[in-house]
Amino acid sequence: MSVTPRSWRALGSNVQLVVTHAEAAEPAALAVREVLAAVDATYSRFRPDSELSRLNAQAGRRTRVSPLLAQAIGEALRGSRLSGGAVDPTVGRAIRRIGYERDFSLIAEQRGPLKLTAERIPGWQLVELDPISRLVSMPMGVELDLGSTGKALAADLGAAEAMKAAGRGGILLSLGGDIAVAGEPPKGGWRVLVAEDSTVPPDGEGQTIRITSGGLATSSITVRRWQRGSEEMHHIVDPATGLPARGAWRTVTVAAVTCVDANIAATAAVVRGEQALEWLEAIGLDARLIALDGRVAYGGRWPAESSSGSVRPPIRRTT
Amino acid sequence: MTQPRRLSPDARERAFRRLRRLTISTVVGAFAATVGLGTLAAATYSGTSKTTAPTPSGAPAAQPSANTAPQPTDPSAPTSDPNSPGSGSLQPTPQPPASGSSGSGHATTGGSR
Repeated sequence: MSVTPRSWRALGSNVQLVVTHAEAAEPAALAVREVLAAVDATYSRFRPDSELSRLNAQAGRRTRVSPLLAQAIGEALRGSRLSGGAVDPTVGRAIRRIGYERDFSLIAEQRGPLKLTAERIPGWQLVELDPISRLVSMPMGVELDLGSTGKALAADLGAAEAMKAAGRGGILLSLGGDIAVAGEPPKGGWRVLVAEDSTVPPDGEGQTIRITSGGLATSSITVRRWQRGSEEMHHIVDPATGLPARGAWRTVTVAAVTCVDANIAATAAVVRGEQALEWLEAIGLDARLIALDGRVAYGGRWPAESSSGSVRPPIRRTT
Repeated sequence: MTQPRRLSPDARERAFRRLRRLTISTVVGAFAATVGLGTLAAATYSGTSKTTAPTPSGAPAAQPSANTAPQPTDPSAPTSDPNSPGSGSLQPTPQPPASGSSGSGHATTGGSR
């Protein structure tokens, strides 16, 4: 079974598509491109003409949205509920306040200081979505940002559509390190390098694991960082303060049944800080966490590396 | 003053039978309506049962360096939410990740640039 990779840029990230049958590469890539184009037009925060931007501009009014936006908002609200509010789509205004208001490739040029104060975000409970009528309402001033779930959802949707187009074999789709797999994996499973930066080549430094289904996602404060005055910023906002999360973990990788679930848990873990490992253990997710000082901890059934210096969690469901 | 019409025993028996049929029909109809409306409501509101996230109690013994970040509110409240189209919990994969074998990987997971 051969494995054929393809890569390109979309949604401000590197896209990598791997198929197990070479003849499936073209139709699978086409299907992924269509999904990503739809996602970009629907819920990009950086496109003023996206449906999400229009929805944010109409806050205060009840608005009917497309099935894709309804699904994306639904997943974001579900993520908020299941993470106890550690991830929250109403961070839109807060994330603009910290300077992340355009594509990341452009914001590094702005270096002036920002006057920042802690300010709790509006809260996901204020957003109402009727999944049947697809009517969304939220108070005036609330801005949605689907960054914590949107790209992972795109990976899940893209992998599923690519699999349909391929018809046989297996698919791995990575969107900036958010990975979804579908179909039959190659012999021995999909080998994935777990790193802090998704641009590290798959044969680079890090832990290599194998997965056969579901999704993998990594949230990290070590990338997408920028300087404003003397303040170091990053893109993971703590809903409790509206400021970049200052937790105990700098990078968290989670495996779950979907990429969306993995990403919700990974981002929530970064925000939760010291309680993250216990929380991940309690909900039964497999995870690898890197502390601010570089030590590594494992949650659930995640395989340990042979290197020394790792922090072992006090609770492990299995070894 | 008019006298009430006296029914024959046969007529009275027929009336009783009709009344019994009416009572049974009403009970069966009410039960069917309850089941039908319940099913319809369950299909309409896709929220699922309780959130399984825990209430953390005490920090793990071996923890990394200081963390002063405020914690998010605990997921104690919602049990059913019509806003939630997906599963009611974050789900692990049936097969856990395994240690990688030799050879180049297919992809890299990491923070997005």
